[in-house]
Amino acid sequence: MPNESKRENAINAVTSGVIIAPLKGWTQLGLRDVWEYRDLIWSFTARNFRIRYRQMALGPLWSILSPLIDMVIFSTIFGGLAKLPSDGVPYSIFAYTALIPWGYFSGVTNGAAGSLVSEMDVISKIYFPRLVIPFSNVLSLLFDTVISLLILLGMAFYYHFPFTWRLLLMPFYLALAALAGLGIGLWLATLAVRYRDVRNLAGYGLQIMKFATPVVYSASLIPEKWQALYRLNPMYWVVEGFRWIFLGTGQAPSLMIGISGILAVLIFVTGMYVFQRTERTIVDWL
Amino acid sequence: MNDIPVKVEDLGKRYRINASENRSRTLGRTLLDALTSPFSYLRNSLSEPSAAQTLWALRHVSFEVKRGEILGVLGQNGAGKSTLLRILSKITLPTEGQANVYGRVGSLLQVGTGFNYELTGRENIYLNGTILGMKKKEVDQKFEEIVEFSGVRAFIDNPIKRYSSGMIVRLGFSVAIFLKPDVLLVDEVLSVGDAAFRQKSLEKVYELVNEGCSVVFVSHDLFMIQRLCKRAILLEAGKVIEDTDISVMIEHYLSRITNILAPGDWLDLATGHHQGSGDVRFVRISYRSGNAGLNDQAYPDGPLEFLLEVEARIARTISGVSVSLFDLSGFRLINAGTIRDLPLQPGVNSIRIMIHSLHLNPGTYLMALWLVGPAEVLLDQILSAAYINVVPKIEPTMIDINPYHDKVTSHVDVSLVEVHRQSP
Repeated sequence: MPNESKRENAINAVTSGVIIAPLKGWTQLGLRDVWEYRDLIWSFTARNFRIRYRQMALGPLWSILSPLIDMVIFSTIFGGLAKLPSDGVPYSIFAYTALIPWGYFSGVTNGAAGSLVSEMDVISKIYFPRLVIPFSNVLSLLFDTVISLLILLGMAFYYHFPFTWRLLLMPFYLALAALAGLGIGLWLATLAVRYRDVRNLAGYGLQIMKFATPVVYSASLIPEKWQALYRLNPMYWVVEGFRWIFLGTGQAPSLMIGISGILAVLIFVTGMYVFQRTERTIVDWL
Repeated sequence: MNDIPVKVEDLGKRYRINASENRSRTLGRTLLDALTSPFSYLRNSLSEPSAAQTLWALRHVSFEVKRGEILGVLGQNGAGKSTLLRILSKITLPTEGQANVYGRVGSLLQVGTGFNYELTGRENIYLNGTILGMKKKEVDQKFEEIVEFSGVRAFIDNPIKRYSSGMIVRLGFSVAIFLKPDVLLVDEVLSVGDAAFRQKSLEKVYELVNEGCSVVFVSHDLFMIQRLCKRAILLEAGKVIEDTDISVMIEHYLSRITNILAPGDWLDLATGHHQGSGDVRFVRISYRSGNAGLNDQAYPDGPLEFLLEVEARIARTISGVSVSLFDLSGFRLINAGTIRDLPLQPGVNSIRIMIHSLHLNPGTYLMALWLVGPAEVLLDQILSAAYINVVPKIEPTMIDINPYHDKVTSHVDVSLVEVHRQSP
């Protein structure tokens, strides 16, 4: 008998019925579904983390090394040879400060773009909100980013940059990077299901975007008449924000960041929407 | 609380046949098309695909599953069974109609999906459980039961790449079954694992059913479904052509079997589908039980005598000949014969195979024939020669005593095989 009553509870606990029917018109973004599966986000994150950190020491090592190596290359070429201006701070830390959020952004973008393909094995057999995959990727990448940030703090200490209250704003900038990365990545994932060449194009797209963001050069190089357009890019604000936090240069948040942020939210919401529509029939496409 | 947890209404799923063409499309090509010939591009992308380009994997499918009911879904490969399962498990959406599913849907379609071989059994239980829709807390609660049921406790903290495939299946199954689903989708997965675990799993499924879980059991095997379900639907080319009691369905199925060989009659095997070199061939076969009261029909625990005629082109020795009986789900239950050398003369030879005690329940069985030469060279084989009936020996009121219910026959008594030279 106690068993039976437990059972009743279990059934009552389940939210009423699910209607499986063709998608018609606008549907919800499915965020409630994702919330229902929040423990799965954590499971995937833990899995990614465990595999990477258990299986091969080189995996996480690489993701920390790669911005460091980039820093050395860019310092040599752009700072040393081309003598690009770096707002008066050592070029190495100038580049590294930008490479960390950029690396996070591109990781989130690529992760979201490849999410449907990378988990195809599971997707084709079990239903769960597919948004869980890119979301958990956002979390797993955070671990690497935090370690890189510790290195950055060490460098900032070495170069005698003061630590200020601005550090508290860093999560906000990381969130903006994640939002933009997810938005773009979800769009790419959706298009990649239908068009084979999207993955290649995406690589170039990210490359172009990297150079449209003041990662390896100073934003002061951009002529004044282009600045308004230039500052629409959410990653401009993230990168300049990181410099503002750690180096005291860069760009303090202004009204324009709101407009850029709205743009990021717009890309994110539409990305979620198209992704949501594709995920329900993706097995028919692949 | 809902008494009809699964309600499928006019469900249809359409696939594009030329999907490969669509898939290979590139964004560059599409943009080029749209720019160079915008009108035909628009027309093509807006118009419904023509009938020739599409295939309805399911159409106008409606049925219900009550609480605590096991519904069998029967159909050949390509009848739409897997499409139906995919829709019910929300992996894909239907093109039209709808399926209302109340409560949590569990599926034993692909147990262990999402298992990661680098992770330990413990970690995989959590990963798999949350993929299936459990909360971490729920997995915490059921963890002990899952480990206990799977029987891999000793290795629970080892990476599952060190597990045997059987252990992985058991672990996956245990997670899936402890999800406590309200609706359970089952494929022929229950045939996975060793016999003991299979039995345990089946009992667990029945336990869930008794607690009110509804089961949709999919199989191409009518007799497999018979063992689990009272009611079944039959899918053919994406449509439900029968939704009825399982016994009615079996009656219909049997009524379609026409080539039942009567005792004493000779079955001409010349037109049958032969395999093998053909140096020696089966010519005809007949059987009888010798029980005049049953008109020579075969009966449980009775004797059964097969008379085979084989034709050899030259004098030669064969080293094996047998008659096999399969139940209708394709299990071989009887294999009566010998692997002793038998010298054959040119022309027609007759061989007698005697089963002293036929360990079969009343029913219809498929007969297959096999004949090899030295070194197991296949001379002749007929995989489905004909059906034979086994009838109850005693009064019909007593037949529900089924001594061989589990289909495992102890042994088959075969008499010496006698070979005669047929008189011309």
